[in-house]
Amino acid sequence: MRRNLLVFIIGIIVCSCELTYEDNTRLLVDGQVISFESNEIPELPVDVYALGTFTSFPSRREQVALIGESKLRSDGQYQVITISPENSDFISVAINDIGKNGYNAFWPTLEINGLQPFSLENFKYKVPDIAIGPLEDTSLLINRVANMQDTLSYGISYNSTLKEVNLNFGEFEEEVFQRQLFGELYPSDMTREVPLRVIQGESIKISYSLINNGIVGRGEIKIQYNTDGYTFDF
Amino acid sequence: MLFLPLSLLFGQEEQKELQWDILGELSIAYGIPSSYGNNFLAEGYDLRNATNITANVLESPKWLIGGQWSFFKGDVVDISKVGGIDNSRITHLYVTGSYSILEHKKRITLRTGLGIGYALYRHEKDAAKFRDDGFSILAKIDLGYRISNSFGVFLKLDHYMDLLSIDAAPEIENSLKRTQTLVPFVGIRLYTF
Repeated sequence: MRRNLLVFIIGIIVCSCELTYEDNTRLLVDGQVISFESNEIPELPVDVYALGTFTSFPSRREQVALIGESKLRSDGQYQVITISPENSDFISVAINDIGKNGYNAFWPTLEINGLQPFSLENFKYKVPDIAIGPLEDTSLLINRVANMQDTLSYGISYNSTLKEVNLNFGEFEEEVFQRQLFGELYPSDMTREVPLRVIQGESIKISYSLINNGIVGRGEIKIQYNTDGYTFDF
Repeated sequence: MLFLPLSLLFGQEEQKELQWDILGELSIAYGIPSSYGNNFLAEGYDLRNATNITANVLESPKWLIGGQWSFFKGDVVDISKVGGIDNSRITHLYVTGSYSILEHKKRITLRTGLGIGYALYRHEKDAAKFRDDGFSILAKIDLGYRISNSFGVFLKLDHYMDLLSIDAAPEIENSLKRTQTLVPFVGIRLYTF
């Protein structure tokens, strides 16, 4: 019994605690980013990472390894040759990652997370098309139009230098916004302009509460991109 | 050019009769590999430092059969062509047959040869190791000079064509499954009787 326990403990300690790769196998990660109004996209770097979590008794650790890289073509298409991880939890794609050779500060970083082994077909991951645009300085104009008596407490959710997309069974999960701004508009204020640096073509989300001796109303609204800026009337 | 001073240096030995009925020979050489073509080895690696060991047995005055081992290293310089590999060690093993073009019983030898064998690409990524392997074909030409009864030098050009058993998407198969490498070698040769 003690011997079995010893073997078990030694097995845990010396178990493979790192990413390993398949012999005689390469994968292809194939996808396209769609530019706002079909504008040309610069040659942004595309990197593919494998992520694994390993138990190395008595702790757990995560390992991230670069398994392939390439560049975007002007039409937004990319194909990345990668080595084939045997034991990763999932694979992610980073486009225009900060610090990479060819990083363009006028464009956001796009992270596509959650490519799973079961979505592999004929040694190829087909990534769904994802919209992207250059960064743009714009603003959100909040106008008091109908409600003159309540204080507006708001939170603005939007993507700026980072856009993250999580894939779930090959489909998009609910949109994740990376940045949030909060503020209040008192009854004495009729309007407010909030400067934003956003991704061209992207919508933003406003969550708000109306306060007048307590919360008298709340809501959430998604505002589509407009070349003249975003507007929220209440 | 290399053999001209050697022939002058050892010219006196021309007077002596060398022993021609050799049993076999062992060659050791150093080379500089370079790959070419539209494949991951040519487009994604900086290759360096090839080592080669060849053993031949004389079957007839003009024909030799033997075996050959060669090894070189490569650092990945363009991941987009290769995948996320840090570096690779590439080994070739062949069974070879060679034919002497020049007349037998000459100090200078010129041979051509073919081989069939095995190519093994051992890759490193961080601390992990994995491999590609497959069938390989060798073509070579060899210019040698026998300095003494048991010692000689030679220049050799090897051409390796590797047909690797890599599984990949059809779009990238062509660049991964076949590589071509040229390796010029310089080395020494020992003769046995």
